[in-house]
Amino acid sequence: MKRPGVIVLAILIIILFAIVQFNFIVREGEAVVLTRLGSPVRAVTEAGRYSKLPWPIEDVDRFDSRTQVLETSYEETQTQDGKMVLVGIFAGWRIDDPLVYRSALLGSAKEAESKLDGLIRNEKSAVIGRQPFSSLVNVEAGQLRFDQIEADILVPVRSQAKERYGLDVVTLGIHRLGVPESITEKVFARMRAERQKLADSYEAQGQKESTSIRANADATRDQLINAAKAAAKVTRAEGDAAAMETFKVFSANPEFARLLRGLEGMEEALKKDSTVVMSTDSYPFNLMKGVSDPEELKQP
Amino acid sequence: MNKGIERVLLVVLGLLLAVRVVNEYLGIQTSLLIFDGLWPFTLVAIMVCFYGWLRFYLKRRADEELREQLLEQSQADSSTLFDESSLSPLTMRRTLRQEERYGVPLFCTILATFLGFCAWNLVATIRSPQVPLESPNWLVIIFFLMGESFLFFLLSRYLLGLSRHPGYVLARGPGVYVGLVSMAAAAGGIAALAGHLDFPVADTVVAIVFAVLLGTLTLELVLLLVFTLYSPRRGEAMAEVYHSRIGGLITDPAGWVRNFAHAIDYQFGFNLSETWIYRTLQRMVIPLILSLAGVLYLMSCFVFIQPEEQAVRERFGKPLASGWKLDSGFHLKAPWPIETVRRVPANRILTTTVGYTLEEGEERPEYLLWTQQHFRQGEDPMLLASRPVGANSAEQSSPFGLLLVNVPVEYRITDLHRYLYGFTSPDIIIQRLCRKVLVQELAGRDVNEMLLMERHGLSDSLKETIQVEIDAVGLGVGILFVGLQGIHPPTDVAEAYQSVVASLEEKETAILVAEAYAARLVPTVEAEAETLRLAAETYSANQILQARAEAEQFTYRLGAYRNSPEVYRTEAYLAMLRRTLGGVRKYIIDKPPGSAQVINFDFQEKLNPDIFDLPDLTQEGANSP
Repeated sequence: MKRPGVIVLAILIIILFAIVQFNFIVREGEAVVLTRLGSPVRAVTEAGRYSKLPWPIEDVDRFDSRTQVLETSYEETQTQDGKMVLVGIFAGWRIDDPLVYRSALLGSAKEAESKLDGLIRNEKSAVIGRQPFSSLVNVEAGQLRFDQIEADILVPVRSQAKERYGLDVVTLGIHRLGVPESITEKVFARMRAERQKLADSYEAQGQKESTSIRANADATRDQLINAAKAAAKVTRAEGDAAAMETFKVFSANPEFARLLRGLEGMEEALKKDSTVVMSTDSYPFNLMKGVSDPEELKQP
Repeated sequence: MNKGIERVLLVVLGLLLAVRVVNEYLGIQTSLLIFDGLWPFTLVAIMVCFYGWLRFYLKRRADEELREQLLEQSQADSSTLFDESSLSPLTMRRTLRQEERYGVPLFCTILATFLGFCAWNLVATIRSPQVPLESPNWLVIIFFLMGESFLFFLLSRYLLGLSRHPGYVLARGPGVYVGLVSMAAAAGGIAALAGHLDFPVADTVVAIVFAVLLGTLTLELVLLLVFTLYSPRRGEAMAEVYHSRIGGLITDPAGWVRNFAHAIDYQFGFNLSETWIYRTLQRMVIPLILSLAGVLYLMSCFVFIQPEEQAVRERFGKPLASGWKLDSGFHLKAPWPIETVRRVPANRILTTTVGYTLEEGEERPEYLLWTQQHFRQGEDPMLLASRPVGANSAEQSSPFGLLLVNVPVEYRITDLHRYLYGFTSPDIIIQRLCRKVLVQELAGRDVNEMLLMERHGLSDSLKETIQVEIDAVGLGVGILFVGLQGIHPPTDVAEAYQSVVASLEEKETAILVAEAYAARLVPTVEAEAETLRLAAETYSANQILQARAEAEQFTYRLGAYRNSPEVYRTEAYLAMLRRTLGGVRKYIIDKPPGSAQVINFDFQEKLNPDIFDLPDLTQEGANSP
């Protein structure tokens, strides 16, 4: 034996090849269909190592048995009250029966999604066609019927998918909702008009409140001034009245009072810019009468 | 020369044809590019093998013919030694010479044309590949191509080994091209293995390599043919011109190693390749490569889990009953394929976004304005309810509005097993569920209230609802945060919304200006009123005090008056005169008693002129000459 290493290596490769041919591994999240001479024998969904006969006698087809997500087209649908709405639905599906899945859909996930898409769209149109638009969009959240719509779509889709394609639809939901573009433009126009109306209303309210505040302020001003003037009048009158009460003392000697008031009045009258013309006949200027020599007056 | 080599070439031809048929079938079934790249190599090998067989056949027949002639010659009478008529024309040798002279260039031309056409055709096929209807059975393809490769490798080795013996040089051409078929099949098998491991792009990559190789072989063949035609040793070189040197490098590297060893021996002047060092190194190459491969394989026992990751350890595809969860750090495991590890970014906070978002590689804009589209990606508005407005609200045709949303949702993986094995694409289902919850929540809210409302409460509520939905499908994810900061009107109506805000500001401004006027006016007026009040009170108090003072003055004076009325009267009168007449103009007229003299006073001239009594100077100036 010239090259024992090469022979050992060759034997090792042959053993490995035999191991690969007589065993197969199913990973967690995987489903495997074992075929014998091309015809399916059994499905394996539990992870682990299994035995089989070598190819081409037995072979395995592997499928992803985890839940996969399908998204239907964002499709225009008519509601019961004739309104157009765009509805997008997603669904989570997984392989329920690998043997049916393999034979009915050739084990193709694309094929499965294509079939499920058809099923879901069909049921969606029927279910939404029975619901008014207000069950999809409503300010009263209690009137929304999403749960019911989703359940009405899911139940028939699930049973048909299981029966025909060996698939289980584990979840389904409406995740897109909209209106066609032509309607969107109209909605935008209405929203703009609403906003304009609101803006005008705010401006008018501002003017109104501003005018009101100014008018109130002006009224307050007038009220305060008038009240103050009236109060001042009363106060002055009260002062005058109180003064007049004091003047009762003059009645003790009216003649003397008249004298004093006369003198005061005369004093006030002659206080300024007056020219007094008096005769030497009047007292005390009568003292000047008969005096010829002014020096005489100077003498005591 | 015996017929053995011809038989071998016929067997190889048969095998090549059989493999070609199977390849064609698999190519039609799978639409894989590797089969489009394989058939030129197979057909070229068939052509070269057939031509090789033909040349061996001609050569054998020429040799037989020569032997027969020599035998006839030896049996003939020696007396007719120079009898020209006894010599046969050596038809086969002449045919062989003609074939080497004209046949080889013709064959090389055909071969080069065919190779060039195949290269061009393969490029065209790569540019417009057919989409396979279903996933091919990779294992069958791998098995077949590897088997094909192994079979032709052995045949190639045999032919190349044979070609090193004298008289069998012509076997090198078929050996090289059969070796190329073997290598191409091996490359195809590796591409199929990559496809089986979810790397289908390997099919295209290998096809491109095939196209490049075919082009290179064409170029090499054309150049060799041209150089040989003008070579002084045309006759010898032409016989082997189609034995591709590049093909030989690929299929018979040992030949190049031998040439290298001979070159070293020649350079050093002694047989270096015969020394024990060289031989030891030669012996160690393969064990070294195998050892390296073994070490590389054993590297699959070491696992390094990154800080943001956790991993699941699987044995034969099934998570271990205990110790299945690997935290970040270094771990040991059984080698592949016994144990494998699946990594999950469980320690990282992951984010999905509902609504408009940044595209990959897109930079976040500096300003986010409602009136401008934020990101390159189109923004799809969401539908909201709209509370009817106005008197005819009952007839509102479209009780809904539209808003743009950008809602980031942060989450963390809480259950590795569910996250990993529950869904093929957990991030997609999370995004769809988040979007579903948001769409259905917004459909029940008024568009304007949504813009004005306090959103923290809604954020918490959405977080809880999304968590419920996620738990319902068993995803193994915990929602950490739902951000509602990016909700605003669509770009088309954003300006109208801004004008409302501007109107609100205008309203507030008008009110504030009016309030400022009021705030300024009222205190001023109050001060004025206070002034009036105080003036009146002062007046009143003054009057009373004055009156009291006068009364008291009167009382005191009255006492004095009563004591001496006449004196008091006179004194008071004179006092008054003293006080008043001191500063006024006085005229005292003294006229004799009984005088009838009338005195006239002209006070006009005497009075100081008032400013208003001055003459009009302007009039005077105007009238003056």
